[in-house]
Amino acid sequence: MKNVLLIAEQVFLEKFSIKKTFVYIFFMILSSLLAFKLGVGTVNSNSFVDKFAGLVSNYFIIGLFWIAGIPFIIYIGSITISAIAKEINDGTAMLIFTRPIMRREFLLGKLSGILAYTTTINLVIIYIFASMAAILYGSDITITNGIYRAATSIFIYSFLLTIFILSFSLFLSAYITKNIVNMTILFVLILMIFVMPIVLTNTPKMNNYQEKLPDFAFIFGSTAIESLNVMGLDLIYYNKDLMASSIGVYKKYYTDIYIPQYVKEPIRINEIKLLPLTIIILIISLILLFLSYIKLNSLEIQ
Amino acid sequence: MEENEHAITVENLTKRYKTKRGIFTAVDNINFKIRKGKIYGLIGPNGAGKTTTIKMLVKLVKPTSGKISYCYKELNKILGYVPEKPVLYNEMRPIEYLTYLGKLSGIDKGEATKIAKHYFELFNLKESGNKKLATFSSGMKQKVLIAQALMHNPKLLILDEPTTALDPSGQAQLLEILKYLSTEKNVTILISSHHMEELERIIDYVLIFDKGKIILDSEIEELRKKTAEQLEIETTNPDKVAEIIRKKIKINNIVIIKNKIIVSSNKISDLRKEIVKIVVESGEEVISVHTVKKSLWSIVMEKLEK
Repeated sequence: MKNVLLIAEQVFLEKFSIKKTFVYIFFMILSSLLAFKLGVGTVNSNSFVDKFAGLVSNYFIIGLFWIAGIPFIIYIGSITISAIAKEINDGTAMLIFTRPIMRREFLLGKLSGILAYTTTINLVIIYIFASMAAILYGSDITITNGIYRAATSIFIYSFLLTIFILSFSLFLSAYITKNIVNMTILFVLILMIFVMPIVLTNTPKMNNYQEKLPDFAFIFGSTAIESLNVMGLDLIYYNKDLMASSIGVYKKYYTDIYIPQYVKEPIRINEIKLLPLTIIILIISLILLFLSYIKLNSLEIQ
Repeated sequence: MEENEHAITVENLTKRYKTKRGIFTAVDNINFKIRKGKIYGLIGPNGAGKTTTIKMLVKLVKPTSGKISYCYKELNKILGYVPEKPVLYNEMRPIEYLTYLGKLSGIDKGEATKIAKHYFELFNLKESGNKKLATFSSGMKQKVLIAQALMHNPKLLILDEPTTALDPSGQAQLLEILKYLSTEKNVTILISSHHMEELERIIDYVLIFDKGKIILDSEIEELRKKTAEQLEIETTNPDKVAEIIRKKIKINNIVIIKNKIIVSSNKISDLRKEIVKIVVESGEEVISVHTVKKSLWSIVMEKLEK
């Protein structure tokens, strides 16, 4: 356990010392606020005063989606994907493995360090963004509490997603030493999680798929909306066209999935079955980590 | 010799790799024993199997067949290893790096920092400042690599080509440290190199590798006793002088290099006077005559050429 913490601490400090971390945090907060601002501006220009709170809330969620979505996966994937492969390729692992360190401790140390790092930066980004949104717009639209509840939901969602992506990236890193191949596979995974449903959402086939297999975004969106709903905010005034004018690629996917269902009947958190999903994600992640360990344990360092 | 006096026993060790051209045998059924507290030189040309053998000894590579036994219960706790390449975390600073690896070896943070600073000063790394390792020269990096291996007072030290990147003073300092560790601290040391000259002064035993096999496993003193002496005669007409010596003394082991004739024989001290007399009587000009001990390196080269 001591060795796991030592390696985790080193990974955590190493990642935080890299300038791009701060560039990433700054960029994410700024772009999320911009998405939020676009939502507010669109509403104002159309004078939908009575729809104000609901619509802005949706833009807030879009802002958070941006934080916890594609850029986040790319970011954590890119820093994790080389975690083991780089140590093996560069040979730095030689000096770790010839010390009294079990290879599983090395793997868990890497996982814990990167998880602590990604969780910290996501926590910072999400709550700074939520706070700024609340300070800038909260008093007008009286959704301050809802903002923080939604932010917490998104944070939990992104934490689960992080565990899965980390395990998957470590798995790739253990089996494939070429970064370019790993990044390509990760890119395909991102396409599967986020982009494919957008492209295929209008096809009957995809609709069936969505009904049968609710994905991360569905769960997340519903949870976030439910959080706002608990605070007494009404989201039924959602305007798809306005959303489409300002948000781009997210428009069809997220609006089609969570808004129509909400309009008909609000989805309750307990209906989302978040716990079974969490367990499934954790089991898949554990399997990936176990396979990574098997590979790492048999790996020869030339 | 008692069995427990052997730090490492290697039996029928083989390592084969699958390559595009077929099976490549990097290490071919080698056997040797390493005595505790002694310094072993692993000598041989590139691709002779030294590094693969070392990597099997430190358990980074698994043998295809054969067995390695250690007298130590937990090898990784007492092992200090210097790899062939300068494998460092380039974003770290030397003291931070040494402290980190010290902690991974089980030393507490305070002690690890203290030891790291000691080696930082010992290896004259102060002059480089506590900059990131990426900015270090290859010689400086090599010193950091050596320091990390010494952090936890290892009982077994394995160094793969540690002198390559070092300047002459760095090489001398390293060899001095190794000799001290062996004689005073009873540390068992294996050190590999392409060349034997630099190791000749400190090693107790030599293992000569070639094409995956060990072609010589000997105590260095034994080897010295067996080595032939040479007589070097500098003359203006080496070809003629060589012919005269061949005819009159009946020695065939004569080599001509520029204007020097090198005569090798186990009895050279007995024949010296006679050879000089014959050459002088022949009327040929003799510039100088020296008796020299054949270097261990030339023995290695002879073995490799065979």
